[in-house]
Amino acid sequence: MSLESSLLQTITATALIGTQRQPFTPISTDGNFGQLLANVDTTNQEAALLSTVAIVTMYQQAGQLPITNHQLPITKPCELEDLPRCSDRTGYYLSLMFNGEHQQLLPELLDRLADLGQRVHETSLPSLLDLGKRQSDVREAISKVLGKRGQWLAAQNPEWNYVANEDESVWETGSKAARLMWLTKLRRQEPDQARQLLESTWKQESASDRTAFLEVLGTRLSMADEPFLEALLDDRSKEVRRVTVDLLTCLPESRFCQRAIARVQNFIKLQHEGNQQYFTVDLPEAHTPEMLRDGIEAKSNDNQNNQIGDRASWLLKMLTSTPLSFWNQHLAMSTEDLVRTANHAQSDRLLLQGWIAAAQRTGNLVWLQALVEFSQEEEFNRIAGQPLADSLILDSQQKAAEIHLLKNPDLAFSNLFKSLLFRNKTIWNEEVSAIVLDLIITTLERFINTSQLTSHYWGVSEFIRDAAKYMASSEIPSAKDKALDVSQRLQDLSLESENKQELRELEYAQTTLHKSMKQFVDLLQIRQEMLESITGEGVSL
Amino acid sequence: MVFTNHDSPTTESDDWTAEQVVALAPDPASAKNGKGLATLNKWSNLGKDQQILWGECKGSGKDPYRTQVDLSEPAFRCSCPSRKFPCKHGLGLLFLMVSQPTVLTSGTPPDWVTDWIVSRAKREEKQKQKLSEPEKVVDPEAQAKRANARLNKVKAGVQDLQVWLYDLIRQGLTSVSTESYKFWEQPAARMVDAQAPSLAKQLRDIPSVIASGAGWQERLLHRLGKLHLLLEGFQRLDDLPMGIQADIRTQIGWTQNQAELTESVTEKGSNHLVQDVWLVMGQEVETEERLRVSRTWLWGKSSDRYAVYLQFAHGTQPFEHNFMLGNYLEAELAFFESAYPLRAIITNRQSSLSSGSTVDGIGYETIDLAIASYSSALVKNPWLERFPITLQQVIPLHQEGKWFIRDRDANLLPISSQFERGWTLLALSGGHPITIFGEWNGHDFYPLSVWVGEKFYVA
Repeated sequence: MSLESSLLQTITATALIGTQRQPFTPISTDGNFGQLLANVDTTNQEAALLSTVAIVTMYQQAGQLPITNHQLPITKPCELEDLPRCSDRTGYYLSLMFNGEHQQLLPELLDRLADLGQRVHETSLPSLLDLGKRQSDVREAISKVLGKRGQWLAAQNPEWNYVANEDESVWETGSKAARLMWLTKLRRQEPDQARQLLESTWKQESASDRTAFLEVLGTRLSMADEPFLEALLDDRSKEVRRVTVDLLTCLPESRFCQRAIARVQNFIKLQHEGNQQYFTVDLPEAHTPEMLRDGIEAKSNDNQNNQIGDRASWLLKMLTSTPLSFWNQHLAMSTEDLVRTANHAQSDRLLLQGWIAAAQRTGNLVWLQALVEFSQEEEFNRIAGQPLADSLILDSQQKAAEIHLLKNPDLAFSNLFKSLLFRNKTIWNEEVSAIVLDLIITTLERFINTSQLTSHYWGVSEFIRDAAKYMASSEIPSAKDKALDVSQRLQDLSLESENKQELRELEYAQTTLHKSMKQFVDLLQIRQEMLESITGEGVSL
Repeated sequence: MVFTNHDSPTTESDDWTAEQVVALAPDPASAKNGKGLATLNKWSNLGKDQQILWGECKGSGKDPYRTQVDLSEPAFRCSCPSRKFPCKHGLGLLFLMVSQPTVLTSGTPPDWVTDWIVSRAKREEKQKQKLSEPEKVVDPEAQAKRANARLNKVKAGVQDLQVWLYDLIRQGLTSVSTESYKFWEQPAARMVDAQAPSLAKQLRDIPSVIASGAGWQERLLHRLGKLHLLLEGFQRLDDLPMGIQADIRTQIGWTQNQAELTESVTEKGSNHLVQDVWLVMGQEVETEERLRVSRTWLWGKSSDRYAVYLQFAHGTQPFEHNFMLGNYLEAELAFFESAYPLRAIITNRQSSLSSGSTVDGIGYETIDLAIASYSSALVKNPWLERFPITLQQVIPLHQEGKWFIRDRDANLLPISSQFERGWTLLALSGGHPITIFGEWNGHDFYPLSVWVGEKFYVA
């Protein structure tokens, strides 16, 4: 301890007790310091004590040296070569989003930066990393735009541990979030390797982690996964078995699907009467342990089908697991013919229900298109009301069917329609953008001309607001122009009705729709400005 | 001349960053609202002419608001009724300039903009005149009488406080930890009556020292020792050099007003007046109750000295002057009398100069040199509260939740626990040396600005 500190301790002790009980002893020491202290006037004890304190603390304060610590571990500096930094303008939009403004555009901003191989500014890193901590759905996008600086920074803060190193060790040592991200990424690039990695640690994973990891296999699912999945039908966890059944349903050649075919084919009969054809069904007699293993519960507990009995529910489950292509092959009929026949007045509706469920479960848009086109109201509503799985990936045939479904005016604003558009949260291509824009404009024009809407106005206005997020960037200028035009007409519209109540409601719809169109235009404008900040294009007025 | 010289190198809109605009906002809400306005949808008739920007911003009313900004200071004007200054429209216009510089094309300013430019020039000319002609003393005799009365009041107060302080030491400090704040409020109120407001403030700060955890006894004694030193110094004020006299008077609660300062500068000659190119180093705004106090730190290129410019504003009222952080400013400053002069006013503001100039030559590369410079300042003014420090070639680092600045000799400077942007410092540095400017209070360091290479950032 230094001289001043020990002196100060002694004086403090006296000051605490009080000079009344413990008189202050003047301090004598060597050197300049001592001389300075010797000058203290001691006629008044209290003044002498305080003067001494002032001298000692000033002496200490003026003579202080910095702390030196050679042992303190120093993190290796970050490598300097890195991705090019995004523009300051882009950084500005990011800072808006950190403040809660236009946060819905963050995924697009991050994806666009990642596409162009840019990274965010250093000053954005702490806020961006914090955001990823709270919002798991943007983590992957975030980790692509961090650059070396961001990776370096994240490695030093345990709260940002979801940012994984680019190597497999994360699977052994990372957090659940980091592992999930790693597995998802690997699955997209090397699907077999991802499954093998999961298999290698499967036994050590907790039940909830298992379900989350297993769902990742929905990406790039193939017959190579079948043996692993078949074995999982015996897993203890009900959730794991449910996900397994869903995955196997999408593999028509799996043993699981083949068993469904074997079970179902004897129950469905194509009847001929003159030139008329229709389907009849028989119901299974008994429930077997094998059926249970394949996800067919003994009791019908499906709320949606609570009007059917247990035996019908078994058949429905079997139909759901039966690959739709089986029917084409087995009966040598086209999909259209099959759907038409199943819609025959004498056909059992259970078959249509099963097909709809199978098409929804496997995301088979070609079948859904046929089912939509040839079915009656009840089935149509069943299809329109059900959103599709988020993981749906489309080939070219499926894409054509998707466009067909999106163009169907009766499906507009339905759950199916919305899930087709919004499930991936990705920007639409030009064709889809044009369809949506056209739908919005015609819907509003119909309202302007006839004061009528096919769907409830708040549903429409919500849709309009969401649509602005996903319009293809090339469509933004024309979308803005058309929207501004119709928005103006909407504002100028003077409504008339005899019925006061009706008039009030119409006016409310008018205001709500006009407001959502305004938001639509505003968001498109911000997106345009934001995207131009990334590509460095100028803005013209 | 006071009015912006358009021929000199000037602040280009390219130099501005969103951070600098945020720093101009009177409160976070204004900054946020301003950012929301930085989209073309809201604006029409945008334009610029040299340092002047203008635009019409759509508001809730029928007519758009006419918004204009002069980048040289920067100064703002807007036709909106907002009491905040600058208002969100002015900030929005700046944010728009930062985010989309190309939308502001050069053009001839409309009449409403020209009017403003002319009226500002007139006003500044008037102010300059006012500043150079000291306020006329209405009745020098009466004023001297008032000053004397106050001095006597303060003298009596100081004597009372000394007696009170001795009593405290006589009875011992053990019991004060259990006393309520009233124990300190009583003598503080007495000091207010005695017209010694700074003494009152020092007493009111003591309860927080007592509540500051382990080791409070020594910290309390340290405070009391300094207070004693001040009171002793005041007793023999006339025997002390001018600078120390001024420091003691400031610590007691006398304020030097600007007119007095200008007057004394004129009397004493040029050593208090410094004409230089000043780098705007950093800015900190603190709120005490409803009063906002802004400290703007400047560093003179030729004089190699720091100056701090204080501004006060009540509630959401604007500060009179705005500064472009990280930019150079040509101006004449008058320093307040002190044994270690830091506080100054701007007697003649000329033009802002483009940034991009290096910060080479400012401050030190090692912490011990910086602390040594603090020590020599402290020797001159023992009551120095905040000391400006610029450290070159240092890295920020963290250890067990605490942040430090480290120089190449492994010296560490602790960063204040009040500072919340340690991770941003670290992100900017990446483990590589950077330049940091901030305030040192003898215990910890509060970073205000950072330079990475030549680029300036608000810390």
